[in-house]
This record gives sequence, structure tokens and C-alpha cells, in this order.
Amino acid sequence: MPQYTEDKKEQNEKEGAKSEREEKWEKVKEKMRKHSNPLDLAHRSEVAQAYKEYLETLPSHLQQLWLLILPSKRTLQGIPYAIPRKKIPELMRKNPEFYKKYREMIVGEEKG
Amino acid sequence: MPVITLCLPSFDPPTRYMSSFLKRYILPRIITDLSLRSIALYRCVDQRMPFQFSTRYSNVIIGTGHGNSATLTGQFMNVLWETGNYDPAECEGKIIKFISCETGAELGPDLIRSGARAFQGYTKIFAFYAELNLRHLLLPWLDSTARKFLMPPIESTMALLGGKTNEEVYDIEIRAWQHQIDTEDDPEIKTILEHNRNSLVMMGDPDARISSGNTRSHQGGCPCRAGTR
Repeated sequence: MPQYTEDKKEQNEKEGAKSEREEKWEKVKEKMRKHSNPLDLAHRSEVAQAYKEYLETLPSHLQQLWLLILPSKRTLQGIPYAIPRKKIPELMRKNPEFYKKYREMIVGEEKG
Repeated sequence: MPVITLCLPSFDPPTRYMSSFLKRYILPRIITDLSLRSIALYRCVDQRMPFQFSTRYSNVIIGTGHGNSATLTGQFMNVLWETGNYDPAECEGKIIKFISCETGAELGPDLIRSGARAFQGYTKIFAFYAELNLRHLLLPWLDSTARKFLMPPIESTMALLGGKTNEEVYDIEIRAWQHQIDTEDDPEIKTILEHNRNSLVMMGDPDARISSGNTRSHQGGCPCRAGTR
């Protein structure tokens, strides 16, 4: 019976972490939808901060991942094609082009 | 006997990962299947001239590499195919599959207009997460995170080589993406998997397949006759 209680507790903790992660990710998406102008530094910083909070909810091995992309030089425009996940918030702040491309991947292109 | 051109640039982490997956899963399939012949374009020969020569004698062209809406590039981003800047004989009657960014937006429709029988590619940036440590740089197919992103196009390419139709191949890849999405816990990874799935397109003859006369030239050639999904 104590083993059962331990398992249940662990499961509850996992589910709690999962829902917190999803909640933080929804916040990132919500802010991205709101801030469509990649040239506004304040907006980019706000999204970057939300992304940082989301990253903190992930286990450390998932924070160590790299984002790899396959665009050509023309599309890249100064964006590295291998980006450590932890550097994404910094890159969002510094590089409007990266913010624009990343935003397109997450919430789609702005219509109209 | 169908001849297959495999375009495999490998000079940075994304191309190294993608071409390693193709070499690990697709090349052995071609080598062991006596009914197929391949021209695999590696590294330094993966440039416009050998590509141009190879495509003329191939029935199927499978390519990975950096790309944009109008171009597919090879080793060190040398342009292999550019919208409106190639001989139609390079694509006429051929089945083409690209695992690259955005080539489904302009280049794919242009190849179909120029006579390609079928095309599959992605209309947006193709992105994936990877663990990218030394072990996985040497053996990328062991990277469990990258597998989530790279196995769907590998599965569909295998199906293409196995004689499935253009439409069946497309459906297989969509199902493979969906499976990864449904089993993913990380919401960001899930979103990027969805992005890749949503940008997959198929064009041309939905019934085109390797074994059924894909060497014949394109009938009609009018893009309005080509189904696009």
C-alpha cells in the first residue's frame, strides 16, 4: 500500500509539472499572437521572458536540446541554423528576423 | 529499372543529421533491392553539374539540403535547382521528394509545370530539435529527439521506394507526423511537429509510383491538371 501511495504521488507530481509546462507554453503562444511586429524590442523581450519561464518548467535534458533548421542563406539572414534551446530567448531579443521566423513556426503567418 | 538520385549534402549539423538518416535508412534499401539503382551524390560532388547530369538519367530524385521557396541547395549551399533556371529534361516525368525548407512553395509547382510527374516537399521552414552531442553527431539516427522529426519523412521515402503511390506516400507521412504529435509531451516540440506536418505538400499525379511507368514523359504538363494537397 505505501508503494501505491508513492507511485500515485509521483504520478500527481508529473501531471502537475506537465500542466504547468502546458500553461507556460500557452502563455508564450498568447504573447506571440499579440506581438506580431518583429521590430518592436519591448514586444520581443516580453515573448522572450515568457519563453524563458517556459524553459524553466522543462527537465534539464530537454533544456539542452538544439533547434536545427534547413533554410538557405537567403532565408537565414543572420540566423544560425543550429540554436541551443537556452539561447532562444536571447536570440528573440537580439534578432528580429529570428523572432519573425520562429513566430511563423509557432503561431503561423500573420494574414492581411 | 528505376534509377534514383539521392542528394546528400553534409557540411553542418542540420544537413549532417538529415543526410545521415537517409544514408542509414534509404541507401541500404536501394542497395539491397535489386530492382532499384541509385546515384548517390555525396559531399563535394553534390553540386550543380553532377546533379544536372544525374537527374537526366534518374526516375526518382530524393533530396535534402538547405532551401528556400525558389531553390534547393547542395554541398556548401551550392544551388542545385532554382525556379525557372534549369532544363525541363532534368525533371520531366520524374518523381521528386525534397526534405528541405520551403521548396514546396515555388520550386515544387515550377517543377510540376516543367513536367515532373510528382512532387512532395515542405512549404515552410523545416525545423527539428536534436540533442547534438558528439555521439549523436557521429551517429545521428540514435538521437531520440531528432528521430521524432526525421522518421516521418524517412518512412514516407521508404514507402515511395516500396512502390506506393504519391498520394499513399503523402498519407503515410501525415500519419507518421500525427503519431509523433500524439505521443509528444513537450508542448513546444509538439507545435513544431505540427508545423512540419502542416507544411508538407504533394503535387502532380496522385497515382504516380516508382514501378508504374514513371520513366514516361509527363502527359499534359498543365499545372491546372495537377492535384495539389
